[in-house]
This record gives sequence, structure tokens and C-alpha cells, in this order.
Amino acid sequence: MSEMPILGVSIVGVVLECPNCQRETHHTVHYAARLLHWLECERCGHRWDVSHRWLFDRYLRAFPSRIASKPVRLAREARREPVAFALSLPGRLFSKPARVVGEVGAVTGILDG
Amino acid sequence: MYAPMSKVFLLVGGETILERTLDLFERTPIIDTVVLVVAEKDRAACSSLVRSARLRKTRRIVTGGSSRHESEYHGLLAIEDQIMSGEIDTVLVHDAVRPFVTPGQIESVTAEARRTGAAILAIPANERIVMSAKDGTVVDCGDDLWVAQTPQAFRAALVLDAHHRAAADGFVGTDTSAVVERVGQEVSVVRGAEENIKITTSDDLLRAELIAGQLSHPPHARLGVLTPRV
Repeated sequence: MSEMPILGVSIVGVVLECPNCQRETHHTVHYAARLLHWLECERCGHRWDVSHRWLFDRYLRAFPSRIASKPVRLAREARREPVAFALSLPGRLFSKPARVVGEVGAVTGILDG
Repeated sequence: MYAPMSKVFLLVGGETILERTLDLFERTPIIDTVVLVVAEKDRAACSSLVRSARLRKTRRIVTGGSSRHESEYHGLLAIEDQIMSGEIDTVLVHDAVRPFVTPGQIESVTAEARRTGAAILAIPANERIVMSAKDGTVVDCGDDLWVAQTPQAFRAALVLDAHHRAAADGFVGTDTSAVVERVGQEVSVVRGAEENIKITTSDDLLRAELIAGQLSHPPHARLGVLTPRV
């Protein structure tokens, strides 16, 4: 989960207790910009959604602190793995705008259709 | 269907549950050492997370057992020498999937354990709790019932000895408190908080996301945004 897939969306599987099935079942969990978007029980199909308005609100509020903490996070990464950091930097810089657009699309539901 | 990952690696508020939980202990000054007990298959991922998040207090990662009880014992055995030498005087046992305990609650339960020998966080049961008899009828349990949470804190030598004795006798406790109660130790109750949830069900995961949102943006947090859809 450390790497966000393209367009700010990630989907994972997990075993959780389903209140509907009253037992542990496989669930699919969908994240948009690392925030919970929806989850669904694979057995009974029960699904819970988080509203795009709430998601977008949280995304916007977290954005300034993400920007503010970015230099520290980059410096930490550079210290930890300098070679890998240097090699990955150009590609990451180039793809950053697309990734941010992807995140915004994911949290606003533009990509849902 | 996606291959299931361990719950501790799910994201809550943009961070993994495990990172949130470990960070709480990292930020609690009275905690010196964290021993992380994990399933063998999660060891590498946990090591990587501890390194990348720079969790300096998480000094040991130990493979757990087949039950919660056994995993606790493995964790205690990993620090047995430090307990016997007196280097570690108090041990707290915590569920990794409870990421919303606060440093203040950790300090309160630790202080009480240092005073009395053993203490747990708990909250009053806000619904009536009953036992079901073998014939399926209700057996009243009384009114003054509390729901146990973690962390549970103990004098280190006491909990190590209680676990040694449980191992010798083949006793398996439902939680650490049950293990020390069995050797005659009274356990104090320190009031916990509703938010200190254990993420077990799908409802819990949704609630955790809401709590994480409230913690990061208290004035604007809103409930009622979840829409169950069948």
C-alpha cells in the first residue's frame, strides 16, 4: 500500500467480520487518494459507500499539510535510499501532475462512471 | 477477488492501521521499547514499515503463535532477560488493530498498573449484557458491566510469571488480564474511551475512517455520510 497506483485509486482484499453474514468473510476495500471510498462483502454483496463530498472535503483539507511536509518526506527518503531516490526523482516529477489530477478525479467521483 | 492482506495494513485516514498504532506508543514518553508480535507472513512488511516510518522504539519483531494468548507469550519471552534484570518494570499488551488509544490513556493505565500491579482500560457497557444458559435461556449478569479494551498494563515480573504458569498448566486466557487474574492478582479498571475501537468488522473500518477524519479536522467532521448499499 505504500505505492499508490495510477489515478489515485487502490483496491485491496481483506478478511473482516460481516455484520450481515455474521462471520468472517472476504471484503474488497476501495481507496481514493488513500482515503476509504467503499467496501463490499464478497459473500453477501453488502456494500458501504463514503460520499464523494466527504472524501473531497477531507482531501482538500489534508492537501496543504501534504505540501508542507513534502520537503521533509523527500529528505528522509533521500537519506534512506539515496541512489533509488535519485533515479526515481525525474520520473516522479514528470508524473506528479497526472497523479494529482488522478487523485482529484478519484475523490470527486469523476472516474466512477 | 483480491488476495486478502492482514487488517493491520489497511489504510485509515491515509495511514496504515499498524503505523498509526505504533506511532502512538512512539509518541508516549514513558514507553521505552515496543515488541511487535506478527504472523510470519507479515514479518518482512512490518520490518519495512518500521524502518520507513522510523519507529525507533519498535526494537523487536517477533513471530506470534496460533492464538492471541500464545503470541503474547512469545512477546514476553522476547524480553524475558530484560524483565528478569529489572530493566523493564512494566509491560503493556495492546491490540495492533486499536489505533485510536491516546498517549494520555496509555500513561493512565501504566500509572495504575505501577500502583496496583495490573490495570486495564475498559468502558461501561451501554447495553444490557446477558449470558445464555445451556438451555438457551437468559442468565442475568448484573448492571455494573464494563467492556475490556487494551492496552492492558502489568508489573512485568507478575505477567511473565503468570504466563509461565499458564503455559505449564495448559491454560489459555481470553486476554492478558484473564491470565493474571488466574494467579490471584486483582486487576484495576481505568476508564477508556468509545473511540478506542478494535477494527474487526466492516462497520469498524468505516467508523475508524470517520474517527480519523474527526481527529484530523474536528470542527468540520460530520457523521451520516456513509450510505449502506445492498
